Amino acid sequence: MRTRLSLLSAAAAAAALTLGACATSAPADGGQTADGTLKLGWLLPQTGPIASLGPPQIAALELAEKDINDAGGVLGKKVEFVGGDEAGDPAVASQAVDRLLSQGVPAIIGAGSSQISLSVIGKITGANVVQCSGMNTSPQLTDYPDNGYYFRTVPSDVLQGAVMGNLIAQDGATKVAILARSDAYATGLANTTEAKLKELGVQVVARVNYDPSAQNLTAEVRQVVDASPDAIVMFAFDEGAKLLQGLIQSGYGPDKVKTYGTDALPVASLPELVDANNKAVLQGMKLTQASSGENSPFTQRLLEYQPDLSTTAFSPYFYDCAVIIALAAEQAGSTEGPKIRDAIIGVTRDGTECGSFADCKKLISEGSDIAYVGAAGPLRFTDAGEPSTGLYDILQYDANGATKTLDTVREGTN
Amino acid sequence: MDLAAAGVDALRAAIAPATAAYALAALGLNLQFGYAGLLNLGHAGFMAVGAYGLATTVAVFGGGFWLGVAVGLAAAAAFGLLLGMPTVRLRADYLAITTIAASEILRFVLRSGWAQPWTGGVYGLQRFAEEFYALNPFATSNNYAIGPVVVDARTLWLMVVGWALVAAAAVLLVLLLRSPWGRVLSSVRQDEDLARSLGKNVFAYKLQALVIGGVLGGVAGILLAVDQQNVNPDNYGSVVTFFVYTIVILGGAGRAMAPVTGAVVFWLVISATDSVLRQAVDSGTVSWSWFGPQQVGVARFVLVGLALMLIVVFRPQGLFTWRRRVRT
Amino acid sequence: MTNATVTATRAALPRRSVVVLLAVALGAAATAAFASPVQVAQATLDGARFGLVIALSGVGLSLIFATTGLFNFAHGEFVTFGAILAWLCNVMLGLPLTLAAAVAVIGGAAAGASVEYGIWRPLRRHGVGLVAAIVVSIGLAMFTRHLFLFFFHGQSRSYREYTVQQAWHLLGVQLLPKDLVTMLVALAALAALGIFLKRSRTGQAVRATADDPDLSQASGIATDRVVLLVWSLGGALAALGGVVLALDDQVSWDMGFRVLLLVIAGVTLGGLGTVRGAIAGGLIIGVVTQLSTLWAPSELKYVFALIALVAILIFRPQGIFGRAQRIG
Repeated sequence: MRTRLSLLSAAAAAAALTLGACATSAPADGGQTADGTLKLGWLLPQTGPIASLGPPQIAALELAEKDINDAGGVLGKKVEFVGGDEAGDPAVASQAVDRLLSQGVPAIIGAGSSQISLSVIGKITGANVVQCSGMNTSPQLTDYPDNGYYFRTVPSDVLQGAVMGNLIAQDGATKVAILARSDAYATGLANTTEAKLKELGVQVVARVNYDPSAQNLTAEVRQVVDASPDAIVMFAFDEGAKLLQGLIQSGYGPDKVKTYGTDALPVASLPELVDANNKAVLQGMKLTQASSGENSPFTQRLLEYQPDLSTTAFSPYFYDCAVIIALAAEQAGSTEGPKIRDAIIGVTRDGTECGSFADCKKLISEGSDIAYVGAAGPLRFTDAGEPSTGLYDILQYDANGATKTLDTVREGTN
Repeated sequence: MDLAAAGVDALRAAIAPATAAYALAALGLNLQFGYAGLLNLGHAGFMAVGAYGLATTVAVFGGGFWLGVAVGLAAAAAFGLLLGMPTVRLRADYLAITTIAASEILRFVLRSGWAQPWTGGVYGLQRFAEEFYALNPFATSNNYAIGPVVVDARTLWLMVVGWALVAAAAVLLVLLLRSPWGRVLSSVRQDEDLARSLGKNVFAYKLQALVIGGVLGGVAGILLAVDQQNVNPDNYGSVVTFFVYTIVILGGAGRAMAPVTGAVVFWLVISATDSVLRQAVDSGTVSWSWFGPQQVGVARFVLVGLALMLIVVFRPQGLFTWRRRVRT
Repeated sequence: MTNATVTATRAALPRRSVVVLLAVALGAAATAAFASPVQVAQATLDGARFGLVIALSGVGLSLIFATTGLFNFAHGEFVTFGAILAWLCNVMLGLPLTLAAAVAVIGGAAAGASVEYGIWRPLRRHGVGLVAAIVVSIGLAMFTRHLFLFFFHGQSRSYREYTVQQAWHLLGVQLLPKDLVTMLVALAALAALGIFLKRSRTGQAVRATADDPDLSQASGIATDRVVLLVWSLGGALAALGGVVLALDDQVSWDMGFRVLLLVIAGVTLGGLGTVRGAIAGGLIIGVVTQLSTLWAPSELKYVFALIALVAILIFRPQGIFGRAQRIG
């Protein structure tokens, strides 16, 4: 028995060491393959809770790939995207990242969810690979120690909170109740909104954080109602429908009280979810969202490319991620992660403005400094690698249950 | 359809650090469930406690990495004692409910705003394993190939450490189970009343099994946390416990090395199925209107649920020979 | 049980009911220190509604446990099944909700019967132990739940009727017509069940099987048929519970799973195997959950219910109305 045991332990130890020994070194080649293509990775929600937001981003990246290759590619190489599913699950996302990293990509575009990004950012940036997201808005990611490898083209929710706070104050609210889902997305946004309201001297009479996995939200609605607010803002996903039903039934619906939300709610189907028999049930409710340029040239082009998209939310931001990575590679003259990282901030500010990959590439070849103006507007990255300014749409539900864009607001320093 | 690529993906998942972590968790659960007969449905709680012990010590209190690991292990042991002392003497179903309730209570507390200063609340904690990665002997600018599988340097380092831990844990468990202690535990499982009548403190043995198994769960949690450099309460829901059960039962509950094989096979199959299904949908080989990309992600859970049922029923491997408890 | 014990237990019942009511009243009164009487009354009313839904959903679980010894972790899926079936009838087929609810109840009964006939009876025949059966139920739960996700998709949806209603106001407390209907329906169903169990011959056969399956079988009671009946009733009532749950909280693929732990807490607290226990336990859990939000952060509201569950299992596992049984 002793012999078998020591054999067993010896075998186990040997196996572990063999793993290390057998691993032959394969230098990271910046994702280049023999036939001269540059592979870039993406990590997007193909499945999971925000899967409905996946298709527009994938379409945007396909469009970017086309635009970049039509203009001659990056440093003479064609760009090819390889993708992975974040699946709303850190374990799955982690496996997808492993697969992408194994292909030697110098950059990964994604993830969609801030929470997933937080779970893979250590792995990606620790491998000296650039990460760029067009949908992560959590303020947590601004100061994350990522050695400069993490970027985002969509502004932090610090800005959206300010927009929301301003909107509520401008509408004349004096007693605001905040309903926030207890998760990384909503809590951050609620905090910044609350801070802005306080700064503007508007009283926050209730701040209710609810458990996302709770089936019943009656108590939370009661808490809001008990505070007798004249404005209610909710940071919720599809449980927002339940909340709205409860509020309406308690006499605090959008017809009685100023009501606000964000595009995390299922915007298109919300009125039907709340009351299928009354299209005007949410009339007057306002929403803020990171501007996807409803009728912008980019959105129109995207819809021409893929007409069956049900939403175009966040797509320009992901397009911009792809373009700035490509431009940074051009600028740096290299397709290696660290070099791209060093050049990205520079291509978004302090230079001659240009609006497309082709135009910017031409300017770079002439030796100019460029400042890429993205499909979602100028980026002007801060040193932390995110926009210092953001464009936000303010939408409002009408009597037919559809949303109309009331206004588009720019927030942040110019 | 690129089946070769799917195969490589599956292999990569099979030897990944996360798989090693699940193997450790399964070794621990096997001790609790397979050997001591404790239907612990709160194993995710042990993993959470280990992971947060490390993360809080380093990210919140600025302690060293190794201190964090020690805290994590101690916390897992403490959680085991706290959980076990009042509940080990309960019958299987009550123990099951108590452990799952305790695990959920823990999760709620970890994510609450009240606990945020120590646990990061809903944001969790990040960046607490730098010290560990600094010890990496493999050059970080390179990728490494193990057969057809290519991994980066960080992952390779973690794989070596992880699987070495699995080997060590398996060997220790085998030693433990062959010791007098292990023999008593075995007799308790076979006939508790007989063991008790021979003067063995059944309660103490079961509690010890719970704690030791729990500490292994804590190590698993630490390994997973180091892999992601991220802890989040929602990563430790009951689904994780159910996955570990599937692994234990797949490998054959009650046999020492079986959880390791179980973990490897589990992730191999899950990953292979995922890849194949994904490719089938992407390439248009499967184009039923009701089976799109959204459905692919669900497939793994359907498979796991099915596996759990079928394996328990058709290949119980000698675990389920207990006398049915007589009631009243 | 001897006559003396029976009489003693019978006398204890009203006393225990009074104790429960007093405890709830006391808890409500204590909360008044933190909130206005109207808020306390409102929370109690809301809690009573939620509690009755929990009781309705869980009484089947309780009876199944009492008659077969199986703790069915897949019980939440009956709840979801009922809600989804009603949704299909109401929204896709355009049936009025009352009719859809009836279809859901019948569907639930059929589901319960099929599961017993197709899975649990064969398992019992093959001598699969209770612990193994619990694990199978966990696998079944995961499998069914994700099948629901597969076909119903991830987003919650509403019924077509009774979505937004005008509330009645009595002394500052708000009551929705649908909530009143929910409570009455739940009470009626539970009362009918209770009367059935007490008065009818079949009901008495059920109680006999719950008390002592072997003796009942020896006395000529067709235990198999009794068990089939219990599963059908359990499935039917849980499906009804799902429909009324969805009236306020919408239909989603995991709604049953989300309330499962609370349902378990309710029936365990009240005492497994009794309808009275299910009602009492459900009410306590419902009211405790709602009242707690008046003085604690609402993200923690389920923690208190879970703590009550753990406490009851440690100190009085038979619950309030259950009989003391061998617990180890």
